[in-house]
Amino acid sequence: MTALRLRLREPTASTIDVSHLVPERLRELSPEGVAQLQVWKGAERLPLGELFDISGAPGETLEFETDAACLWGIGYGMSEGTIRVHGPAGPYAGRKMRGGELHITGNAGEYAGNGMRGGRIVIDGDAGDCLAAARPGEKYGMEGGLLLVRGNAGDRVGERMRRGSVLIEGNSGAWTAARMRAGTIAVLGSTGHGLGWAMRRGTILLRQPPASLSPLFRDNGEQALSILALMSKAWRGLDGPFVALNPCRVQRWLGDRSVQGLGEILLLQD
Amino acid sequence: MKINGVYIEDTYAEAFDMRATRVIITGPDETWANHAANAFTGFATSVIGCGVEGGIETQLPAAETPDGRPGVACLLFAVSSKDLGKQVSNRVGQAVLTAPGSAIYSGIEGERQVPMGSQIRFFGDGYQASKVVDGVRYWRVPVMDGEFICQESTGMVSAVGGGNLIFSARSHRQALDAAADAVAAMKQESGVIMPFPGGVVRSGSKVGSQYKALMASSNDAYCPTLRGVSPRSELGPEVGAVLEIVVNGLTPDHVARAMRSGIQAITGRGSEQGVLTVTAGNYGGKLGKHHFHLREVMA
Repeated sequence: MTALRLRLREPTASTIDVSHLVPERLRELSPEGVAQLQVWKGAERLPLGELFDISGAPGETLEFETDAACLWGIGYGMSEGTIRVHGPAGPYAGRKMRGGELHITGNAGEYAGNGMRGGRIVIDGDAGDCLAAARPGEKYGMEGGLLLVRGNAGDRVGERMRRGSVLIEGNSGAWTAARMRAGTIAVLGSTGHGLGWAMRRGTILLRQPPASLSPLFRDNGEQALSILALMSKAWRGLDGPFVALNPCRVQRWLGDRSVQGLGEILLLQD
Repeated sequence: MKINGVYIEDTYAEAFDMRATRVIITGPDETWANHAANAFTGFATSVIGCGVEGGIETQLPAAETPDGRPGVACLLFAVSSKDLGKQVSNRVGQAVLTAPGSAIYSGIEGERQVPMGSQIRFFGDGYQASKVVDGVRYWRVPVMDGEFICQESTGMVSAVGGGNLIFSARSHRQALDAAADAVAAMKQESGVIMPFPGGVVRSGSKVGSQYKALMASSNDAYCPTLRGVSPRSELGPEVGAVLEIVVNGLTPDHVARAMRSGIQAITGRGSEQGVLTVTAGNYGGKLGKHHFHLREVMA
């Protein structure tokens, strides 16, 4: 399989907008054509070849090599193919993604998976704030697909999320699943305050008891839910602890009763 | 053509296009999965009176079901997508939703879908919730033993209904034994069901009746009690009973394979055990586009 590799020549404090560099748009171009593509670096518009060492040929796979989290919008709207980021990703990685796979070996910036509708994002490091969340003024956050974070995630994970799955092997910050509409967020580590604040529907699956829980969530006792078998089966294609997760019995809270009140927080039982 | 002393008549079974779906019903154990599956496929012998023809296709081990519990694959056949959708919804609501610990999933991909959980969900009275897993929507309906999981829709495919075998034997017991052997052999084939009780029908019908209101009536040509009076009688004095096996399948190949297995089982008993003839029912080839010639099936 051919791969186009873009190695950032020099770390920069400016943001470089690479949102238009996705496999399906590049594969018809020659390497020379790719080098002449214009990208924004801060307020400057420069040929791609001035900022990156380009090797390989356009195809189904695009690889970025970077030491700095300065690449904005990696994989924006991609619908097929694979993007690998060797190093950290800047804000908005995988924004409006519809298919394919985005793999980030380092950390990801804010709003990764924002508006995502399909495909898969894997972040080997930590994710910044607002993972899979809606931007201010947007109606929904993530709307489909799967987002796996092997490290920790920041605040406001899945805010206004509508569909899809966010799996976090580490901890998540404050206001996780705030104003969530639907979908699934699973956190194997700890969760911050404000968990599920104003969530209407959706599922939060936890392995550790929440540090605090609003009284607007009502305990419904310990239950065996068949839907968890379907969900965990869908995660078997992943590496890591979610593969081995075999949810049988859960403690179930329903809330937030200040709104629709059909969101569920499920705490895995031994 | 004779096999093991059993005469195979040079005729064909005439079968029709139908619409079909496969569903997978799971339960806490095999017993409860089968209670639900038996209710789901109950009173589904003929589209004429039941609206749908159905049956259990096979038992599924836990490893082969969507939720990792013991399950049963069921096939339903109807004459139209509208009828199929109506029957699936009704049967899920009355037979599966009600069965303790059960869940139901689509067991087939289809170009079109028929609704399965999209209406049943309202039983949840506002407490129902959906979950999309791998692009498939499931409904979670709260019930008194936990949650009923029901996939939103199931795939619909074009299928074949009305494959059949009609066979005669010297005695009723010999005909029954041959029928049991045949049904057991045909059940080993995938993609087919034999919708009648035990897979066997004794009330084979002909088209029309002396009563204007009836579209079909008893097939007097094969009624041993009428061999002396029916002008159409096909039975000699040695025939004690005639039975029929109707088989519906997802494709013509499925039906042909099942018919072959059935004929092999029937002829396997041979004339020594009282089996006399194997024939098939048709309507002169004018009604159904699928013709399964017995001798070609056995070739």
